[in-house]
Amino acid sequence: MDASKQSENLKRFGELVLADRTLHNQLRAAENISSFAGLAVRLGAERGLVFNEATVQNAVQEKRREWLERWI
Amino acid sequence: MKDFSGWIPTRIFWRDSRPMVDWAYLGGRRFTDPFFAQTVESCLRHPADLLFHHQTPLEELGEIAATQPGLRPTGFIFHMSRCGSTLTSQMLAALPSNIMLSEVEPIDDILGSHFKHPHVTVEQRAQWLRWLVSVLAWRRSPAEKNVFIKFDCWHVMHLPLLQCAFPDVPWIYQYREPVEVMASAMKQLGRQMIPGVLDARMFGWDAATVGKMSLHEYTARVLAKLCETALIETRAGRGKLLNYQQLPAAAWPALLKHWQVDFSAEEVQRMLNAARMNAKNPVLPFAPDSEAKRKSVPSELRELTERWLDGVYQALEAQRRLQGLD
Repeated sequence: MDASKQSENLKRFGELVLADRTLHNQLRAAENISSFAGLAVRLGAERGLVFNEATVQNAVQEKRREWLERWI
Repeated sequence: MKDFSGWIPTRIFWRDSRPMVDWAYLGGRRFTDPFFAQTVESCLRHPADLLFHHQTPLEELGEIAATQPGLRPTGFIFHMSRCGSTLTSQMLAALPSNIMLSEVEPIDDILGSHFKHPHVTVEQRAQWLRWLVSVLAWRRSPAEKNVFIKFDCWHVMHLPLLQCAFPDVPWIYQYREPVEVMASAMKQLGRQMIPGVLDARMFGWDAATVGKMSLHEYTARVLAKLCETALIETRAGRGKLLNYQQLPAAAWPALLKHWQVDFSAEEVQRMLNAARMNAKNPVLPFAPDSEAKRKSVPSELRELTERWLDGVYQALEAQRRLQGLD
């Protein structure tokens, strides 16, 4: 599966997360970025949304960069 | 409508010419950090919260605030920076009954939005501020009953707009001996002290005027503008002045009376106890530094201070004696 399709699936998974507090809390239980990425991949796949751990980790890094650069 | 309980607006940004709100999950946290940005930072520490957060059109904030209005603001704190305003806010934050919002970035986004988006009207900014503050002031625990907002130092330039948006909220302007503020500013520059970071139009200048100023002159003149605006507004009878030297014990009862809040003796003592710690780094005890600051100032800075700030400082002192907090 190409990277853009995976990013699209991760985005759709994010919409599900924001609409479902239980799912969000499940993800919050992950102890570090690595276990979070693995958990997100599994919970996404259970909902028919396929993406890999690298897609999740890149997205987290991009969000962190956006936050740090918000005044630039 | 989505459920936003537990969430806070963290930023106003523009997408396709439309103002939007970024949210973060606050959960059970209180605003006890010295600054709002630090609380937001802790909200975004977990990757699940950094990656998955709401983004809504600003208009939707109005619907959310109408559906679930927050507490009415109790008091506002304006200041010239480096003058003990964080001490004041940390004392208030010491009580669970106080929601202390300190230097809130989305407030700054709204106050300055017309500089980047000239079509934004005064009325829109006032309305957006009311929505934003209403949502930030949600009662998140049964103990919460007061809401205080400490603004960024340059927000005093927007006092007329803020008073239009919140006409009944008592406010103070906090200030300090200017040479001590200049010494602190030179030790660690804040955003407001770096030419070009804030929009020069806020101070009635253009970029060319700012370009001719040295770093130190710019700092002195920005501080002078802040104090001059506060002086004009307090002379209009709308706020009270508080000198750093009055903190904490001397001013505290009068300050609480001004904000029309009543605390038990035990609560007052808890707030005064908080003043024993370094406000910006509460793991360290507070150490008086006025004398050291005065001694550390080089002659160039002293001259700039005398030229731009001493006059307005004396005028603030005269005004404070006339109608300030005693």
